[in-house]
Amino acid sequence: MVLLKNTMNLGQYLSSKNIIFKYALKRVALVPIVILAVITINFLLIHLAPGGPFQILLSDPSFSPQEVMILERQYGLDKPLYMQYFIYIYNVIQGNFGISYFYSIPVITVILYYLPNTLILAGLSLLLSSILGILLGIIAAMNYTKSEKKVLDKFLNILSMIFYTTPSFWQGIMLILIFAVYLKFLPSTGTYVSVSGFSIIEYLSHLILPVISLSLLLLPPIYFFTRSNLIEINRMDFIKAVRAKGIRERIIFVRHELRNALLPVITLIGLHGTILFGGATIIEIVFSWPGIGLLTYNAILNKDYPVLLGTLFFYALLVSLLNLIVDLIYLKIDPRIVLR
Amino acid sequence: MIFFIVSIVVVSSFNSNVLISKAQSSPTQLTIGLVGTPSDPFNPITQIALIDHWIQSVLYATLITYNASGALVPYMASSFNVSADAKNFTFHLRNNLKWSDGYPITAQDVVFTLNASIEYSTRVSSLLPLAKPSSKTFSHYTLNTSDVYTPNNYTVILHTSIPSPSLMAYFADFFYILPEHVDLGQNLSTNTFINSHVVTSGPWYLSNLSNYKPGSYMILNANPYFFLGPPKINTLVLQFFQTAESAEAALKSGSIQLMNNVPYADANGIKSSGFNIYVAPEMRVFFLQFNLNKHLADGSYNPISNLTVREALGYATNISALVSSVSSGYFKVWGQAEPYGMKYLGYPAWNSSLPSPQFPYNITKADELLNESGYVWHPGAPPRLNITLITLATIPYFVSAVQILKAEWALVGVNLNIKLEQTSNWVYDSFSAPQPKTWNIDLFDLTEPPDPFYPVNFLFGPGSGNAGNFTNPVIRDLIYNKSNTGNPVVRTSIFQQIDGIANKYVPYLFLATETEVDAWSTSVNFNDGFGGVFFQILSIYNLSYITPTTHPTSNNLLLIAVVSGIIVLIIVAIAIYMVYSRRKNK
Repeated sequence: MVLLKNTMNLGQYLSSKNIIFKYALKRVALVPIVILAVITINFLLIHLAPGGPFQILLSDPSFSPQEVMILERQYGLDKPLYMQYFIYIYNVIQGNFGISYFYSIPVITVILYYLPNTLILAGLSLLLSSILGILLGIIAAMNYTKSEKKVLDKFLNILSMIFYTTPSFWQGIMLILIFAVYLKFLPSTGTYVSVSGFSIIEYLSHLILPVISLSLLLLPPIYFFTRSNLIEINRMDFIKAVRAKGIRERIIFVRHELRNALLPVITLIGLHGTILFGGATIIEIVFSWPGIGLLTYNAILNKDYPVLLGTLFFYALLVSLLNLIVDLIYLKIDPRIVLR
Repeated sequence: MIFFIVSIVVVSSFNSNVLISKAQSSPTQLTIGLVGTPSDPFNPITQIALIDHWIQSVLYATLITYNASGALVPYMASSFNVSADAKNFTFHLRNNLKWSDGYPITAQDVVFTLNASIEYSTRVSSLLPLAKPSSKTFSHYTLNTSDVYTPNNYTVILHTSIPSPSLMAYFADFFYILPEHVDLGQNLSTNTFINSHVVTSGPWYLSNLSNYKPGSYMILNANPYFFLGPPKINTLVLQFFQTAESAEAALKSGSIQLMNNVPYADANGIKSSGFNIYVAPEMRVFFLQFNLNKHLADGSYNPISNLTVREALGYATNISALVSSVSSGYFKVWGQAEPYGMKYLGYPAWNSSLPSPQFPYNITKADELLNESGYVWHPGAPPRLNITLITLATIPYFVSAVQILKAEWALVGVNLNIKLEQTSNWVYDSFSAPQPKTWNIDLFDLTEPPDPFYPVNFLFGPGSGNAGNFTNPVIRDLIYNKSNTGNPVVRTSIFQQIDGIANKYVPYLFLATETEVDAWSTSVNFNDGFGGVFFQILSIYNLSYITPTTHPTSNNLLLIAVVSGIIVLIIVAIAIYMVYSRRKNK
């Protein structure tokens, strides 16, 4: 708002509030359109693949082709594709995602069981990687601008590059081998068996390795973005001008440097929603963490169309919402975006 | 993130005696790692996944079962009888049978289960001898009640109009008796894990629905009403893993004490780490399927339709070396449809006179046969034959096997074009696609129900399994007419004849009978031996004591949190310091 007030008169500012509202409304209205497009594309791609969900039973000598036909009839797979599509869309609008072929229960029941586990895993990882990525980015940038040798900056760059370039599943396996198999210090998998009642401590101990693993996926880009933005902004003329006015260094850093440097970082975090959920899938498989990624993986293996479409719907919804939230935060930080 | 890792390392290096949890496994608690995700472990009617079958064998009992050597023995039934013509089946139930809720199990429950299985089950074809058509049911069949008699609460007599010897395998393997007093009126074609009432008859039961976390684990308690007496192991935890590697890590870290289906490549490593290993022959054969159609789907000539070419490829394959390589020595080289170990009512179903492997490795002979077929070649010349082979990309030893085949066959001038396919594509190309197929050869394995009828019907009958289009009227007559006898000696000899005839036409090049490798920690002592495929549940039931072991828990989580917190504070302090100190340089 500081920048906005400096560059606009009051009338422009008030009318821009209306623009801001319209912009926000437009962004919200885009969400269902994006989701409908995602559903349609996914539906067609999945159903156009050769074979059906029950065809796999044909590789089992104790199942006959007639039994496979019975199952296909029960789930409406004998109907034409366009009819299946319209039935599906009609049901989704009513909140009915169908019955899972594999679990034989409503898809929404299955998803709501698995979804919280992914939200916890992804949420903690996003929080951890954002905080540490930004903090380390600040340290590296300050070291770069201040020090001659830039040792700390180089060290953090190399470290981040190592984590950035190694696959997350490999990092996960290494963490399991070191901390669970050799040191026997943490549980090897994400699942927690509560034989004698629920324990939050036990639950969290099972989360440590998966959260670290997933955070390692997100931390390097956040670190690099923060670092490079801070270095770049520090060189800009307006920073020199502000500093020449004699404003305190803390205020220069927080109000001008950090604020401007974090704008693209926030966008990056939003864009990384897809990477976050994609990465969560790999991590959930490696750590047997019962999240929506694992559910999707199993749905693909089992050709469980309703669950697969349901999880993809929720992915689209979550990523769209994450991007919407990021856009609205961005709007709050820099309202000039509506004028672009 | 590195700081969290560092904090854990720092904490773990202080004093391992303090940091390793004092929590120990109970002497009456066993945790088993299973690879896979159950679909509906409580409802045998909707069972699709193999892992469901395993869990149901813990939760439910069958009328008959297998002993450690694979012979049929009474289980819920105190005795059973099959007539010589395989048309009459009598089961006398034990009189002390009770459900996990204490309600008595009677012959009415057996009839109820038969009815439910025919009307709702995904395996209705196995029970068709007891069914009649119906337009009102999900399966379009219903129980032919005139064929079922219950003279008293503890006797069930079944009559079929045609000889139905395969019913016995179904009763032993899939026919889990359901509680009529709980399930009557319920739609059994849907999942039961959302029901609040799971009543079972096996050694362990689910005491509370919250003890099942789909995709994670299941905690089962000893069934006080189990007819052989409650098991000594009070708590049986089944933990689910997505990959065998995750289960292995859990076994090595002490989180689980027993795991099934150890990957063959890792079995020797686990054994050398001090774990016990049990290798049991599986009801599974590993083989090449040849496409016998004259032409492929694109109209091109199919050289594999020539018997001499198929024989040549048999001689060109060093089966012993291949099998040993892909299974780390755990498979048994085998040359017929019935896997080694398969029996019917205690009588071996395989043909012991057939050589295994069918074609001893001889590349000179292979070369001669290929020349004889018109495909003349000399080393250094372009390949004389180009053959397309499809297989599953998702099974590592399939991929290894086809690479070895490619190298072996190149020695006789045969070029193998390998198509590694994902499951859905492979299933379509192998089974669903119309004849003639697109491929020359298909490599896969077959899990066979414990009745010799199923593999021969699947491989040599006209169904979707016979993707190579092998038609032999003599074999089909033997399968559908001659094998329908209640005399086990005659019946098994029929299957032996089928294998002998089939091997002359080489529709398949059988490579091996597969094995199941199970591993358990030294804390578990199977005094009476571990039963492998047939006898696992009763082996676990017979366990009396688990040596308590330490395993990682999170007592050290607080310490990790403190150390991590300190490190984060240090990072924040460094960041603040660097921002402030910058002023001095400007």
